[in-house]
Amino acid sequence: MTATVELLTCFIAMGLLALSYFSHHRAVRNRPLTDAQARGFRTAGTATLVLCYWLASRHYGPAYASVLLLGWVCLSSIILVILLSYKPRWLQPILPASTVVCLLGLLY
Amino acid sequence: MKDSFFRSMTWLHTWVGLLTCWVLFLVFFAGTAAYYRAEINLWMQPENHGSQYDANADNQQLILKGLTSLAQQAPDAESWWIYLPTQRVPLLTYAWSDPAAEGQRFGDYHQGFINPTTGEALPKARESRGGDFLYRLHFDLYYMSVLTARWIVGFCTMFMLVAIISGIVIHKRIFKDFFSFRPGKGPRSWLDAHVASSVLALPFHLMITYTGLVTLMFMYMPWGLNTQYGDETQAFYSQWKPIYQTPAATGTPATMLDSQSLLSAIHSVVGESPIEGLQFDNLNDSNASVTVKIAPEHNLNQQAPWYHLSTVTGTVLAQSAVTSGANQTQSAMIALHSGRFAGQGLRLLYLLAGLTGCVMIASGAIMWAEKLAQKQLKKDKNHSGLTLVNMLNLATFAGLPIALACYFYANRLLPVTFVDRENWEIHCFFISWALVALLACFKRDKQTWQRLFLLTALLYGLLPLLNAMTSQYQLINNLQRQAYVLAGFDLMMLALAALFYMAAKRLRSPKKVLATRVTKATTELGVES
Repeated sequence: MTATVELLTCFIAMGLLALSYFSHHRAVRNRPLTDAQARGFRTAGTATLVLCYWLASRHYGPAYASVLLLGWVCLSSIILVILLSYKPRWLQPILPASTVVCLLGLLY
Repeated sequence: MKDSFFRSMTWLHTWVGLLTCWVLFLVFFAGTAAYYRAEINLWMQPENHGSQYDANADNQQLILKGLTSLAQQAPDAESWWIYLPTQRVPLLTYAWSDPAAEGQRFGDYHQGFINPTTGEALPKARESRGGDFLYRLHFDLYYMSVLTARWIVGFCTMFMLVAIISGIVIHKRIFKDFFSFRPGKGPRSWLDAHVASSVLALPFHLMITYTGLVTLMFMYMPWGLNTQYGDETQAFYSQWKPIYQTPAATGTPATMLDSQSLLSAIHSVVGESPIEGLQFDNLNDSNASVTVKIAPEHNLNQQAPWYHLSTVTGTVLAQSAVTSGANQTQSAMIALHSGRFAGQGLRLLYLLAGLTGCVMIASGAIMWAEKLAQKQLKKDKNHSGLTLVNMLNLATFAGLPIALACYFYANRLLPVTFVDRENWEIHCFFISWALVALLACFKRDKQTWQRLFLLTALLYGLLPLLNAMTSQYQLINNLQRQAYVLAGFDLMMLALAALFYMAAKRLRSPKKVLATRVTKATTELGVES
C-alpha cells in the first residue's frame, strides 16, 4: 500500500508539472494557461515531488529512495506521455482521483 | 569539424550513436533480461517448479537438511556450499566441488536442490544456462574470446556515453519536450520517441553507461595500476579489497563438529541475522572451516558481513571489517549497475528503464534511416549505407526478441537427454537470429517488420501454453499457490506479446488502415452493398 501511495504521489507531481506547460494544459483543460497558473502548477508539482521523496526516504532510507524515485519518475512520465498523446482529457479526472486515493492511503 | 559547436555536437551524436547502436542494443537487451536472471533460471528448469518460498521456514532445519545431503553424497569433496532459499530462488541449493585433478585449478562442481517446504530432494534438473547466458552475453558476447568481447563492449559503451552527453547538449528543449510525443507524423514521431525514451530515463541511461565502464575499469585503464604495482597486480587487489584467505589444509585428519553443535556455534555468532549461504573448506582436515555469509539488505552498499568459523572447534577465526570509502563507492556503483540490491518493485522499474533504453537505441537508428530515405527520395539517388542500416535494423531490433523467444522454446522442446543440450539451447538463439538476419538481406519493407512483430507476439503469447504443456505447474495454478516468480514470468511474456502485437498493428500499411476504416464506417452507416 505504501509503495502505491508513493507512486501515486509521484504521478500527481509529474502530472502537475506537465500541466504547467501551455500545450499540455490546453490539451487537457481546453483553456489557456496564465503565467500565475503555470507558476502555481510548477510549485505544486515540485512540492509534491519533494513530498514523494520524503515519504520514500522514511520507508526505504535516502539512498534506496533516490533510485526508487528516479524509477517512479520514469514510470509516471511514460504513463503521462501516453495519456497526453492519445487521451489528454482523461487526465482531468485521473489527477484528482489519484489525489483522493493518495490522501486516503496516507490517512489509513 | 562543423562550422558551429551545436552542429559539431549533432554530427558527433549521430555518428557515435549510429556506428555502435546494434552492439549496444544487444548489450542493453541482454542486460535488461538479465535483471531477471534468477527468475529465468527457475523457469528454464521445470523440474524445480514445485519448489516454493516460505518466509516462515526454519533455516536451521534447512541447513541441517543440506548438510545431511552433502554428507551422504559428497563425503570426500574439497568444499561444500549451502544456499538458503529466497523469494527469487525458492530452492535450498547444496553444492560441492571435487578435489582438483592434476593439472587442474579447480575440481568439478556439482549441485542439487531441495524443496524447502517438503524437505524432499528434487530430481536432477535439465542442463540449461538459463538467465546466466543472457547475463554473460551482455558483456562477454558469445563465440569469441572473453577479453576481445569486453574490449568491444567497453568501446561501444564509451561511444554511448559520448552519445548521451552530446545528446543532452544538442537537445535544447529538454524540459519543454519532456512529455511530448506526436504520433503518426513519420520522422517527427520517431524523433519524439527517441527524445522521450532518452529523456524520461536519462538518469538511468547515464548511470548504467558510466557504471558499466566502472565494472571493468582496470581492464580499460590499467596504466595507473601498472605504474604503481608492475606485475604484482594481485598485491593491489589484496590491499584494495582485503579478503580473508582460508588457511591451507594441514593434512592432519580431524572430525567436524556434529551438525547440531555446529549450528549452535553459528547461531551464537550471527544471532538473528538472515544467513544467505555457507561455504565449507578443507573438509575432514584440522584446518576445516565454514564461512557464513549474511544476506545483504536492500541498500546500495552490497557489502554484507561474513564470519569465518572453525568447524572442528566452533571458534570464530575471522570476520568482515569495515572497508575503505573507495571500495564501498565501487561496490555501490556495481550494485547500481546490476540492480542486485533492488526489491521486486525496483527491479520492475529497472526492467522498464532498460526497455526504454532499447527503444531509445532502436528509434535513433530507425530515425536516421527514415531521414536518409526521405533525402534520397528528393534527390532520386540510391545510398548503399541506407540499405546496410535498414538490414541491420531489421536483423537486430526485430531479430533479437525472436531469438530470445526461440531460446525459451528450445529449452522446453529439446529432449532432456539431448547431448550438449545447454549449448544447443544457445545455438538455437543464434540460429533463429541468423535466420532473421538472412531474411533482412532480401526483404526489409514495412510489411516484413509487421510480420516479424506478429510472429514475435505469437511466440511470446504461446509461451505460457508451452509452459503448461511441459511443466506440472501452469499460470493459473502458479497464481493459486502464490508461486509469483513463475506466474510473473508467464504474465511478462503475455505483456510482451501484447506490446509486439500493438507494434505490429500500428505498422499496418496506411492503405490497409484506410480500407478498414472505410469498411467500418460504411457498415456503421448501413450503406454496405
